Formats: sequence, C-alpha cells, structure tokens
Amino acid sequence: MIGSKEELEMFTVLGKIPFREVETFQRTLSQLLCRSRAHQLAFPELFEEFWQELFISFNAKVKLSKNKSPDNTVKRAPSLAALKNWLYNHQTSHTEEAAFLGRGVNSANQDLSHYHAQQIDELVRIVNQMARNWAAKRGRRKIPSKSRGQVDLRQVIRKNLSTGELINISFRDNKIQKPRLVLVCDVSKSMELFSNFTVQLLYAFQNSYRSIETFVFGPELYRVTELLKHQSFKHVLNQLSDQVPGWSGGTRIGHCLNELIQDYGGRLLHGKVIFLMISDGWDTGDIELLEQSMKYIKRRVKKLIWLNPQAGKPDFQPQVQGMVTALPYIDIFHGVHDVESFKNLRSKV
Amino acid sequence: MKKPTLSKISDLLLKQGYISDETIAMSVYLSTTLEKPLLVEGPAGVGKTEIAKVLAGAFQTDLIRLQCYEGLDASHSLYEWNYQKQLLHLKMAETENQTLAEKEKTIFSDEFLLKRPLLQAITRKGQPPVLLIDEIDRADEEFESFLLEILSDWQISIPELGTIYAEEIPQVVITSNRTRELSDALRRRCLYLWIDYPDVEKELAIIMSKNPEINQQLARQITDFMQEVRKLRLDKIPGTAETLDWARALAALHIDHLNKEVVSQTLGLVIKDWQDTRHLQDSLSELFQKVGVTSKLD
Repeated sequence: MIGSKEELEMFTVLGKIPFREVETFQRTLSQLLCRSRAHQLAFPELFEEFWQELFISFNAKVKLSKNKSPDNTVKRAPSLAALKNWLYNHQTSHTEEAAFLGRGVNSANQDLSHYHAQQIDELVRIVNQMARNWAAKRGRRKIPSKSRGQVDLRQVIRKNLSTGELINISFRDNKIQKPRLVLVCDVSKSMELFSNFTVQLLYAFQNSYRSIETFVFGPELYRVTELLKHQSFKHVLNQLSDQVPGWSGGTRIGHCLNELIQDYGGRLLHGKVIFLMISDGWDTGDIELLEQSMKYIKRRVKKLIWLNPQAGKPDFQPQVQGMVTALPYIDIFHGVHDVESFKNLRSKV
Repeated sequence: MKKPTLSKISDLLLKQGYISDETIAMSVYLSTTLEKPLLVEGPAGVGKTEIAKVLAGAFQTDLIRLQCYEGLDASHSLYEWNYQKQLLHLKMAETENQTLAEKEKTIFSDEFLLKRPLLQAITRKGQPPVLLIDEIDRADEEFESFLLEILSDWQISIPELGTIYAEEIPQVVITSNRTRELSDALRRRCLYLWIDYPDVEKELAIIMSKNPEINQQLARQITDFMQEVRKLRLDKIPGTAETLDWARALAALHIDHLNKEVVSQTLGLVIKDWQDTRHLQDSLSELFQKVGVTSKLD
C-alpha cells in the first residue's frame, strides 16, 4: 500500500538525487516503494509497463495496447464456474463410492450456502483440540503466571511498595508454544469427490490456527493463506474462485512441492513446523522430483502428516505411484474424508 | 551527523572494507536521508549484519546491537528497573516517614533505571549511534508490534517516567533471515534491502579486499567453486562468510591453487551439514571439472 507518506518521501528524495540515467531513477523508486523481495522482483516490469503506457498515451498514436489484454483476461478470468464444478459436478461417476464413504463427501444435492455452518464449527472445534495437543512445548516467551515459574520482580516491587516487605509474590512462566503449520491441499480432478470437505477443512484450519500457511495445488502451486482469512465462508469461496485458477485440473505434486521449497522453503520449513498434506497421491508429474521434495521436507520439518481421503476405504492400498513414492517419508498417514475420520486423526497426533 | 551524498556512500563503505553495489549504496543513502530504518533481508552469511558495523565505522559512531531471540521482551530490549537496588532502598527508607507517592517517585527514577539497547540508542547524546536490531525474525510477533512506536515516532513510553523522546534519531539497521514473515506495519516503517549471494566479480572483490595477501588465481578458483556449490540443492547454502573463512584458511595453509585433496580436507569450512557434505562429495568430481580443479597427482 502506497500512501501520502511514501509519496512525500519520494518527492523529498527525487529533489536530492541528480538523475542522469533512468536506472538510477528506477532504483530509487524501487528502494523507496518496495517492502519485500517479491515486490522488488515485480517492480522492474511494472515500472516498464507504466512508462510504456504513459508514452503511448502521451503520443496519442495508439490507444492503450490491446495486445496484452487477452492474456490478462485468461489469467484473471473468474473461475467460480471451475470451483463450483470441482465442488459439485462430478457425482455420477462416483455415486457408489460417495455412498460408501458416507455423508462427508460431496453429493449433488448439497447447497453450499446452508450446508456448512455446523460442519465448519465442528471442524474448528477439532482443529482447536488438535492444536492444544500439539502445543506441548514451552517457549522462551514469559507470561504472567499465578503460581509457577520465575518470580516477577517488577510486579513484586509494585505490589509490596507500601510495606517494603515481600509479602505478595508474582510469577512469570514460559508460554506454551504451538507449532507452526504448513497446509498443502490437492485440488485436482482426482480430489473432486472430497472437495466440499477439504475446502471446509482448509477454512477451519486457517481460521482457528494462528501460525499457519496454506497452499493449494493442481498443476501449479498457489498460496491461499490470505484468501482464507475471512469470517464468511461464502466470501472465502468467492475469493478462491477469483484468485486460484486450475481447479479440477491435473496434478504435479513433485513440481508443486519443489516450487514451495524454492519459494518458501527457507522461511516455512524448519524444525518447529508440522507439514500437513491433503492429497490422494495421484500424480502426473515427475516422480523423481516428488521423492526429492518429500525427502527434503521430511528432513526440515518437525512432523510430516499426509491425509489421504481415499484411505478411508477398508480395502485401501496405497498403489498410485505418487503415494508409494511419498510413503517412506511420512510420519503419520491417515485417511480423512469427513468429520468423523478427521476426529480419529486427533488421537493419532 | 552530516549526511553523505549518494556518490560518497560507496566510497565510505569501501573504506571500511565493505564491497557494496548500487542498490546497497542507494538504500543506505535513502535510509540516512529520510531517517528511516533499513530492513535488510537475505540468506545467511551475505553481509547483512556487516552493513550496520561498517556504517558505525563510516560515520565514526557507536554501534548498539540488539540480538533478537524467541522470548525477547521490553525488559531485555528497552529498560529494566534495578530491583535489588530498589529493594535495598525501600528497606533503608523504612525508618523515614515517606509517603507511598514519595517512595514511588524515588525508586522509579533515572538512578534505578537500567538502560537496554533500544533506550540507550534513543537517549544517546551527541553523534547518533547505529542501532542494529539483528535477526528480528527470531523474536515474536509481539516484539515487532512493540518496536513500531519506536521506529515511527522515535519515542518510548515508560509508565513510571512518561514518554522519552529521541535526542538524535539513530541510524537503524534491522536484519532478518526470513524464517518467518514480518508484519506489513513494520515493513512500512522501513526501507527494504535484499542482499543476495554475490556474483563472481563481487565475491572475488570481497575476497581480495579482506585477504589482500591471497594468491589471485586461488581467489578466482575459490569464487568459481563457491558459485557452483550454490547451484547445488543444499540445506545450508554457504554464504560470503564461508567463502571468506575458506579463503583465509587456504591462505594460512600457503596454498596457491585448489586441488582435490585440499578441497576434500577443508570442506568443513564451507559446508556445515552432514547431509550437505555427503551430497557435495557425490558431486565433487563434476564440480572439479567445471571449475578446472585437478588432483595433486595429476
């Protein structure tokens, strides 16, 4: 966000630097306006685009170039239809399976608007319980405590100022620490049957857990953390459909995990993280890359949990190549396709 | 403090032995001109902390360092009362007929105040110091929020003393290794600088600047080797700090060119993880070929 403060700073600086080259001008603006590495990487292109368009308008030779608009349209086309298709439109081929797996899976008659509230509340409750189970370790941050920990001298002095004797003792103890979560969910065609449940699960995790990063993937990886942070589930669905293309497409798990490692690995994958993957393991990408990525993630994180909706079936055997490749690196493998099966996960973690 | 012009910044940094580039020079210039903190991000060992040190040297002022860690709070970063002294004073004042307000006024005065780095930086008189807030990503989010008041208004509120305003605005450098995302509020108050691994020429210049006595051919070989190592998929990619350690070690061993045996024996200076070591050992032959390193026996 660029406000008046930033504008003011920009003019202050531009008045002080003698610009002979456009590069210096660009660098100055970049240093002043960018707030992250991602901003800095995107800046040159935006800078170029801005001046190009200004130049075109100024000369009044050509109206704003239409060449770029088709691409933009394709990228930004609302994919609500695709998301709805992923959420609802796949029942005929799976009716038998859906009937077997129970009420949590998609059904043709379910309506998004009045179906979710209760189920989401239940999921949030379970996630909260799981978070409490995970939060077993005490961090180094101190918080006031009633009866245990170190003596809080500041409070002691304050309380006993009138007497000069140490009668009332206050304590400070280490705060219980919750591990961070990285949640990665498969939204490809093969996961359609469980789409309702998985979208709600993502929403429940994001809205009940503080330190969490959420990604969805199909052929490509998308970070959806910010999109999921909203009180209204309907709003979240609209956001997801607007911003994330590729619902119901193919899957390249290895490629997407590799992308996650490259772009976010240094920041997100470390010893305090629980890595939660939701996928059926059906992969059309590079299996070797999947193995490398799993190996890397396993080494970096505290715990790697894989939730496979297909694993709820009693006769389930992990036979798809992606799943077979990933299994040796997984700490907890669990079948989750509805609220009941998700409850069972609680005892495992 | 007289603020240097853009063209002088690089020279000032160079005089302190810091090889910068145009982006670094511009960031430092803007930071001093606008009196805004400089937020430096980048991989480990690329010289983020060093910027603060050389700035202190260049401006001939003190460096005040606040090393962040999990659990860091106001009492360790800002101020603390000298409780033992306060208790003693209260005990001694028992016989005096002081009111509660009088007692409070006495024991919560400057005499009993222990200044921590942030307060030291704000209250320093004369030449403003360089304040280094190192590895802020290690501190909790709550600490970041606490920093905002200081970084935007240059003031600190101490309940017992009131608001303390900065005598001179310090030059602030904040570093982060990106182990977590920093808040937008903090980012907005800072100028952002990303320092990446240096390219061949810059890394060579850094080696030559820090180890003037080193053989130039060896320096070139070290640089080429490190550039290739960074292309491998390692857990802990070696930074400039590792390059310099290695160069210093090889110079101390009076080695004038790399050979396979020397690389194998001194690999511990470059790679600090056993799995990375194993991975690198598997790729050594290929690396040697690329960089043109031969065996001592060849």
